[in-house]
Amino acid sequence: MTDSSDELDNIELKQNEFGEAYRAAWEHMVNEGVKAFKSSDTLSKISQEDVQIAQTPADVVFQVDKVTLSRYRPLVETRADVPPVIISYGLFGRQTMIDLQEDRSLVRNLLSAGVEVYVIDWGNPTRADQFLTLDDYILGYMRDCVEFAVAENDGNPITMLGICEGGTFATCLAALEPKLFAGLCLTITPIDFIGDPENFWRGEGFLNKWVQNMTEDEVNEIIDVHGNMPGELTGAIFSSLTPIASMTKYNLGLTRLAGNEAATLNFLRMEKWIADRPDHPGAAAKQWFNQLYRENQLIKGDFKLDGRYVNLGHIACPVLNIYALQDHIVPVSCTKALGKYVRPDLYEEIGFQGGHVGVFVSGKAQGVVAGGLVKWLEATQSTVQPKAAAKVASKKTPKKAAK
Amino acid sequence: MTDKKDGINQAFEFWQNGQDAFFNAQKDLAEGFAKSMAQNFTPKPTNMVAQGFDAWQDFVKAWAPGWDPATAMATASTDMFNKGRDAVFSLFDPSTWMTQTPEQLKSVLQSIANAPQFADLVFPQADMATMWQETLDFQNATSEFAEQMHVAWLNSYTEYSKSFSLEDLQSGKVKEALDSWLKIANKELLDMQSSQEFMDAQKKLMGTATRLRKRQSEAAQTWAEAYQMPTRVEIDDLTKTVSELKREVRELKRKL
Repeated sequence: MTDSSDELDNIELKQNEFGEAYRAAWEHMVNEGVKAFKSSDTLSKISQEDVQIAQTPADVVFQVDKVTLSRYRPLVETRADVPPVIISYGLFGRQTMIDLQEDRSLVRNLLSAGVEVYVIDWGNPTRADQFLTLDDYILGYMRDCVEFAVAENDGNPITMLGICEGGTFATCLAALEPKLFAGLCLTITPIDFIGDPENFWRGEGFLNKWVQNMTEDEVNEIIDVHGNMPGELTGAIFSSLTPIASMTKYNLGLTRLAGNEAATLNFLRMEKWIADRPDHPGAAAKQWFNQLYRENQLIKGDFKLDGRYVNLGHIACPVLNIYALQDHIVPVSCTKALGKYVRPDLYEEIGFQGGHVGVFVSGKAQGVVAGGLVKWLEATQSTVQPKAAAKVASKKTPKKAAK
Repeated sequence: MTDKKDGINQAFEFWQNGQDAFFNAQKDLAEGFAKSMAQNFTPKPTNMVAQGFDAWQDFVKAWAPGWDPATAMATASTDMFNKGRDAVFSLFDPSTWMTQTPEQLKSVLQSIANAPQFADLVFPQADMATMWQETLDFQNATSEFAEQMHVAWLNSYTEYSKSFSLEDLQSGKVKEALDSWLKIANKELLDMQSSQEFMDAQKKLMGTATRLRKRQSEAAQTWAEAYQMPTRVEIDDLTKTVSELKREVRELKRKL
C-alpha cells in the first residue's frame, strides 16, 4: 500500500512539475509572441521615407571626378575660433555614419559648437575606378579637398577628422603635407596593422589575422576577379566578426525591441548605413591589404605614396586619437601605436568604452567624442584660448609654417 | 605481356566517353534553353531578337551538329522552361548528373583537361573540363568549411549542456537559457574563427570560389569575342589607360 501511495505521489509530483514547466514555457511563448507582433506591427507602419540618414543640410563646394567636398550649413550664428574641420571616412563604408540621426550626429554636435564642418564623399566606385590607388586617393583627391578648404580659410591650415581607413589616409597626408594641417583628429584608425596579437581579447583582431593568413597572390586574386573589393564581401566579413549578433538581429533583436518605434527607427537607420557598403577600388584595396595589413609598412617607414616615404615623425600638428576599447575591427593596440611616432607634446588620446561604430552612434558617445573633440580644438587650435599643445611645441608649429 | 596498343585504345575510349558526355550535356542544355526561348518569344520575335536567336542557333549547332531546331521547336511543352533551367543548373553542378561517382567524374574531367591538345576542337572541351573540375573543388571546399562550422556548433551545444540544464528551463528561466545559449555560441564561433583550421578552410573556399568565377568570366569573354563584342579585359585595359592619363594630368596641373 505504502509503495503504491508513494508511486502515486511521485506521479502527481512529476505531473505538477511538467504542468509548471509547460505553463512557464507557454507564458514565455505568449510574451515573446506579443513582442513579435508589436514589432511586426511597428515595422509594417514604417516606410522607406521614414528611415532617413545624413539629413543635416550641406552644399557641395568642390568636386573632382566622383569625389565631392561638402560644407555643412551652420546651425548657430557664432562661429567658434577654431579652424574648419574636414571629416573623412574610409572607402569601406559611407560618411553618412557621422550624421545618422538628429540626436546622434557628430556633425550636428560640431555645428552646434560653432565649428565649420566639411565632409568628403568618395562617391560610388565602380570597375571604372579599379585602378585608382591609395596614392590617387590620398595625394590626389584628399589633398585636393584639403587645399580647397585651406584656400577658403584664407590660406590658413585646417583640421582633419579621419575615421577608420579615412584616419589612416589623413595621417599619411598630415605626414607628407604638414603645412596644410592645424590639427589631426583620428577615430578608430589603424596605424600598426599587426598590433599586439598576444594580448588580443576573444574576437579582437580577427581581420588582421585573416588577412595575414593570406599570401599577396591570394589577396590579389580575389580582388582581380572582381575588379574591386566587393562591398558585399567586406560587409560579410564585418558581420562575421560579431557572429551571433549578426544572426539574431533581424529575429530576436527586433522582437526584443517590442515595437518601440524610436528604437526600431534607430535600428533601421543603422541597418540602412550598414547595407550601403560601396566597393573598394581594386588597386587601392591591394595596397591596403598587402602593404599595410600584411606587411605593416606604415609603422616600418616603408610605405610610399607617389614615390615619397610616409614618415609619421613628420606630423607637426596637435593630434587627438580617439579609439574604442571594445573595437573588434581595429584593435586598441593597432591604433594607440600612433603615440610612439608622434611627438609626445603634440599627442593626446581618448579611450571610449564602446565598439567600432559605437564611437559615433551610441547615445553616450555624443558627449564623450564630440565634446572631447571640441574641447581639444579649443585647447590646441583656438587663437584666443591658451594652446595646450602649442605651448610646448617647437617653433615649427603648422600655422607658422603655413604662413 | 602488356599490349601498348590496347592501353592506348583504352585511354582513347576513356577520353572519347568523356567527350561524348560533354557533348550530350551541351546538347541537353541547348535544347532545353532553345525550347524555353521558343515558348517565351511568342508571337513572332522582333527582328533584333530574331537575329540574336539565329546567331544563338548557329552557336548551338557548332556545339551539337546533330541537333535540329525545327524538331526542338515542334516538341516544345509547358515544362520546357523548367528543363532548361535544370539543365543550366546541372551544367554548373556536375555532381547532379553523376552523383554516385564524383571521384570517377573528377578523373574524367582531369583526363580531358590534361589530354593532348593537338587540335583546336579540343580546347573548348578542355576549358569546360577545367571549369567543372573547379566546380567540384569548390564543392569540396564548401564541405570542409561546413565541417568547421559544424564542429563549432557541436562545441557550443556541448558547452551549453554543461552550464544550463533542463531543470533551469523547467523553472521558467527561458530568457536566461536563451541568452546563455547565444553567449556560449558566440564564444565558440569566435574561437573557431580564430583557429588555423577555420581560416585555412575559409581561405580554400574563397580561393576555389574565386577561381570558378574567373573561369566563368573567361567563358563569357570567349562568347563576347565570338560575337565581336568588347570583352571585359578590353574595357579594363581602357579603364587603366584613362586612370593613368588622369594621374598624369593631375601631376601636370600641380606643376603648372
